[in-house]
Amino acid sequence: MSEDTTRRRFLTATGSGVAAALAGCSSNTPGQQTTESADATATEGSATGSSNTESGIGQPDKAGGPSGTLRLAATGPIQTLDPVNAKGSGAGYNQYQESLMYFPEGALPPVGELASDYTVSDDGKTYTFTLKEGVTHHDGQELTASDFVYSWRRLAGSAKSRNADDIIGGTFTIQHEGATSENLNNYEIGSLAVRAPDKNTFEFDMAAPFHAIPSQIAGGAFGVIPEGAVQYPRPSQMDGSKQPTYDGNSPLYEGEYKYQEYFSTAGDGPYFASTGPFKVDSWSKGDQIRLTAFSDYHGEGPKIQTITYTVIGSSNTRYQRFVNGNLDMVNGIPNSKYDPDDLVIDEENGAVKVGRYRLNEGTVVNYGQVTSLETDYILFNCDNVKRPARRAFAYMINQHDIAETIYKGIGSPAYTITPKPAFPRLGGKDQVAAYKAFVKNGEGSNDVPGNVGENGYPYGFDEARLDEAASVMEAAGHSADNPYKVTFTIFKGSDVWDQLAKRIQAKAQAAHIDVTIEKASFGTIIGKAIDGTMDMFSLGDGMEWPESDNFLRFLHAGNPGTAFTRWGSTDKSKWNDFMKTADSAWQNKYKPNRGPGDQNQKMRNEAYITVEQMNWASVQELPTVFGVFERFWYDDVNEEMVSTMEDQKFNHLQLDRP
Amino acid sequence: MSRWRYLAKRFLMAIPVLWLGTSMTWAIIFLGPINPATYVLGQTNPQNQAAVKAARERFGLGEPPLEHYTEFMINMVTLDLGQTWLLYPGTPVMSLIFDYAPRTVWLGFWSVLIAVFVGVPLGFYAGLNSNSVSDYATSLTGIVWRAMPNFWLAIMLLALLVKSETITQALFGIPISWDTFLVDINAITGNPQLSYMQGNPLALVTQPRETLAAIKKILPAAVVLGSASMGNEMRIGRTAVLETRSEQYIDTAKAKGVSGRVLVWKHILRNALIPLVPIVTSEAFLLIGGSVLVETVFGINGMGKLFFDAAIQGDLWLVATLMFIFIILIVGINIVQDLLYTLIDPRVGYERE
Repeated sequence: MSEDTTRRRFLTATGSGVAAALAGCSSNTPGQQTTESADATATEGSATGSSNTESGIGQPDKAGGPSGTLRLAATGPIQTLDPVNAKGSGAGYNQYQESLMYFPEGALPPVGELASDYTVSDDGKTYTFTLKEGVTHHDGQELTASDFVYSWRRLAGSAKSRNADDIIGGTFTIQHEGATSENLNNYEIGSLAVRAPDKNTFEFDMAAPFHAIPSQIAGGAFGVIPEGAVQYPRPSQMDGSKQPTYDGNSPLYEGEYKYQEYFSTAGDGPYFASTGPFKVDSWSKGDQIRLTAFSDYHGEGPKIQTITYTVIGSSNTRYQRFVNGNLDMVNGIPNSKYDPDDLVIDEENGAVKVGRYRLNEGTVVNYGQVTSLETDYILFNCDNVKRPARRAFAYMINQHDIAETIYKGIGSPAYTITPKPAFPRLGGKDQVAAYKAFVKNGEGSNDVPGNVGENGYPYGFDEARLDEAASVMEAAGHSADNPYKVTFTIFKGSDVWDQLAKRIQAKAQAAHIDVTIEKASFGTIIGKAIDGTMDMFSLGDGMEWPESDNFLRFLHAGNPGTAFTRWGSTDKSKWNDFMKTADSAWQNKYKPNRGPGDQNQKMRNEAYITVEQMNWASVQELPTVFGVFERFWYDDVNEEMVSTMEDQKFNHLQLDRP
Repeated sequence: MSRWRYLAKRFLMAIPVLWLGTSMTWAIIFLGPINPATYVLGQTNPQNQAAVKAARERFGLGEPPLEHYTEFMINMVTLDLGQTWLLYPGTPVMSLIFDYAPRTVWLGFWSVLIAVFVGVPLGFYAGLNSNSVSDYATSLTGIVWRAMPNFWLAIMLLALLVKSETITQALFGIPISWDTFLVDINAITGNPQLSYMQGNPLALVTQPRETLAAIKKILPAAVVLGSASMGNEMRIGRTAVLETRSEQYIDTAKAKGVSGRVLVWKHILRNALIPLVPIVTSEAFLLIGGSVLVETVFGINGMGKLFFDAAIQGDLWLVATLMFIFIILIVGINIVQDLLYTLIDPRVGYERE
């Protein structure tokens, strides 16, 4: 590394640019419980004060469960303890497993977890992390930098890894050999540029600079386990029958444990070890995972003995167990059980709201709400639905109304694809303020063809414009006798999408569009989207790192063959002005400026705004609502409400019961 | 033909059934429209096509069908059941079955037991006192009970148990909470805790508290699941007793002066059991699949739930291997049932008439 590296402290590390948060590394989200008590005030700042005493909702009640045990629910099966194999992360992964960085109480920016400091080389490619000293794994071994080398190599090359694209595909790419952009299995084992120059120093080289590294490596897939815990590479990779295949010269680990007894329940397993405040005590598949306090934890706490995550797939059952006092905390309740009249908000601070909620049975519990980094949108296949029809749909819908009446306020109206907590900080405003000014008045908008968006959202902010929708379609030659036909595919079993689709179907009549509604499972929708056989469909997208490029990389016309929207054409001569503008912003302002730093951030923000405006012009993706994360908890659980990232470590959590 | 030859013949005949069933499973599952690779994506980054491509290759979905079929059949026949793709990625199917099956077996065992021990005696009672008020009463309740859909019964029972304190207060004047009645259970619904028996089956007897808790936890679900068969057994038991009662040998026995007690216990009930045997063995299917509906309502993660989740989430490998195992079990149970017939009723022969 050169002498001119820039040294930064963690707290300021990523704070300079867009803040925001990353939506819990991936989605199967079983974990992520947390808590907060009414007196654990979120942060200083604007309390809206509670003038709500007349609501008749009293003080929160206690659950009165077993002492020292926090009882939580896992929404899906706890799949595996192996960080490289988890689809997203299993329930409670951030209680037992740690990585270099994390989001304290789910808030941005990420700070050091196992790292005490880091430096970035001037070219923005080499990162050097200094590890905390005196950290031990659950099995008693001391944490060393080679643990990270081993863990990250497994992430890239293990035959079990299904998160390899987090490290050698896509955007966060560490230098390596093999054409992984064509196929991840082309990776050459052992070629990953990760090093441990000494016991407490961990280093890696990026293939290209990337701004969101601290957030990206806070994700669950980048968790650490002791070096050599399990066999890597596998014999089947060495004889070439399983990909990626072994290159013949990187280190071989025999493995202290068998895979299934380390990460699963074979034999006396799981023997899993990492450095989190809780260790895995027992796990019964389809039933429960039980975590117990790790007394040698390197940080503060833990202050309770046990956490249990019980697998309860049905949201109604989870709700019932919570009402009965058999769970201490739940994330969200079924839409059908939720009544906004039973809620009082006592305090509001940025994206976080805290208050009290009265359950059906009259019990009052604590309530917290935070806007998450997730956007729901209608995605149009631009080859199959022509632009006038796409614009007509945009005129038809009223996002505000959808958020209030269909989502019952558990969702916030969305006018851009970038969620507001991650919106570019135009003009030095904070994210949410910059978002509001942009969508309402067009503040911060760029000069683009057609001046689309110079006055804010062009299809009616907080209102539906049915007459406009009709006239767009009439101008395109449609009438009541000659309607335009389109099929809208939505998620099977989704109450909110069902209501929304029916509402759109009714409104579309007036605009001379015949909408047929079809329902399909998530997997089917993705499959058809890849094949490009649908007209328009529902989709929700969560951010991996808190910046617009996460979503906008699919909207800039530069990849018409593969993007779900099919916008643009491989033949650039057929491009219209919108496509040219979006593509040039992406190629010239985004791509060369992907590294860290304020100047780069400024250029990227310009590109993001242009692409957002071009999405308004082209209506490839029509945003409906931003996701909201909710948590309900009894009063004997003392913990701060989690912030935008939704994941929280419970080392501070206390239980106020005998 | 000797019994052994008969048995050997039945086994031989099972082979084409197995082959056909497994092949059909493969065709239905793997030639169908579901693309499991798309299920590796979640709500974060659903437009990530590289992950789908890599998963397709990892699952071997690009292989020519014949190659895939051969591989699948060889794996199944050699009982190399492989690993699940999506539900618990990387976990061997066998170990999943060992985790999930005990809950379903426990549920199935109690529901069959309840059905047999309540349904059969009631049916016999009704048959012995045919056309009396008590016969009408039992028959009527039996039919109504049988007619109630499982899931509805489950929800009603659950609602009653949740309000057990209020209800017992109103009925008996003392509030009794189901949660704490006899032994504490942490929640009304959920899996029975059977792990205390792991590696030590004797704990079933030596740790009665845990056993009681496990029974109590499964009891509501077992009652619901057993309700349909309970009604069946009652009706068939009643008819069988009625039929036996009118046989001539009963009249003969009566004429010889056989006492009423011996007549009922030795001559009527024993013979009336014969038609009940296939009914009871066919209930053993409850042991296999449980009931997805009942397991769902009571929050029990058993085989039914596992199968359902695998199907919903496109984990085709798991679906196919579970189906293969179900086929083996059903064919096996059928053979056992045929054997039992010949043991119970010597009149059932091996020869064609």
